Amino acid sequence: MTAMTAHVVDMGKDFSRYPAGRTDKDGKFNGTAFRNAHLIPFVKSGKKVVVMLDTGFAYGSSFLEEAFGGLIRSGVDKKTATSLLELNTNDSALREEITRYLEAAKPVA
Amino acid sequence: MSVTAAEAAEWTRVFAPWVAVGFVSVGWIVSNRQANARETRKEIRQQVDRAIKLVEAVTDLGMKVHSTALPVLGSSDMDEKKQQALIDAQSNMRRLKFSLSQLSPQIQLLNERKITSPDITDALIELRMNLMGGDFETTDQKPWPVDDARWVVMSGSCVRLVTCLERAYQLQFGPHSR
Repeated sequence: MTAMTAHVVDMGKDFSRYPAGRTDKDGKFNGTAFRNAHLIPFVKSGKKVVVMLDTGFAYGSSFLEEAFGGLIRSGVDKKTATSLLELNTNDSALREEITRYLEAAKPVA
Repeated sequence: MSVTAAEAAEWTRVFAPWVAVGFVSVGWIVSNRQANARETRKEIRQQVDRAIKLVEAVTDLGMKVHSTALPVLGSSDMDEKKQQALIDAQSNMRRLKFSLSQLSPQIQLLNERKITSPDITDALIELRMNLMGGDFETTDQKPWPVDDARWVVMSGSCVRLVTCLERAYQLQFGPHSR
C-alpha cells in the first residue's frame, strides 16, 4: 500500500548525476534544493520517499549532510524521517553514512 | 583363505602401478589446491594493496584540497596565475570525490572475498566525512589553518582504515601472511 503511494526519486534522472554543495550559493544541484524539492513536501505529508542513489555519482558528504541531516533541522522528527525514507543503493557505506546524518542532526529550536 | 607368496607377488605386480597412479593423483590434487589457495591469497593481497594505495592517495588529495584557498571565480583581479590556481584546485576536488567514490566498490569487492569487518565500513564513512564534510564544495570552503585539529583527525581516519583492512586480511589468512 505504501509502496504504491511512495514518491520515487531517481537522483540521476530527477535531480542531477553530479549533486554537490549545500545551498544555492554552491550551485544549482545542492543539498538544500534536493531536500526542498524531493524530501520535505512528501515526508511532511506522511508519504514514503524512495531515493534511488546509484544514478548519482561521487556524493560529497556536505551534500548528503545538508540534504538528509537538513531534513531533521527543518522540523521532521527522526523517527518519521527514518520510517518514511527508503534509501535504495548497492553501496552499504553510503546508506550507513546517510543514516548517521539523520541520527546526528539536531532539530533547530 | 590363505594367500600364497606367488599370489601376493602377482597382486603386487598388477596393482602396484595403480597405487602409484593413485598417489600421484592425490599429490597433484593436494598441490593444485595449495597453489589455487596461494593464488587466491595473492589476488586478495593485491586487492587490499590497491585499496590501501587509494586510501593514501585520497588522503594526500584531501590534504591538498583543504590547504588550498579557492580563488573566487570571475573576480576582477583574475589574472592567468589565479585562473590556473582555480583550475588546479577544482581539479583536485573532483579527483578527491571520484577517487573516494572508487573506494567503496573496492571495499565491497573485498567483502565479497571475505575480507570483512564492520570496522572497515565505519572507518570508510569516517574518512569520507572528514575529507568531504563541513564546508566542502561550498562557497564558504576555506583552507584549514596549519594547527587545525581536523588535520590530525583526517590522518587518523586514513590510518584507521588502512589498519582495519590489514587486520581483516590477517584474520582471514593469518598474522604473518603477505
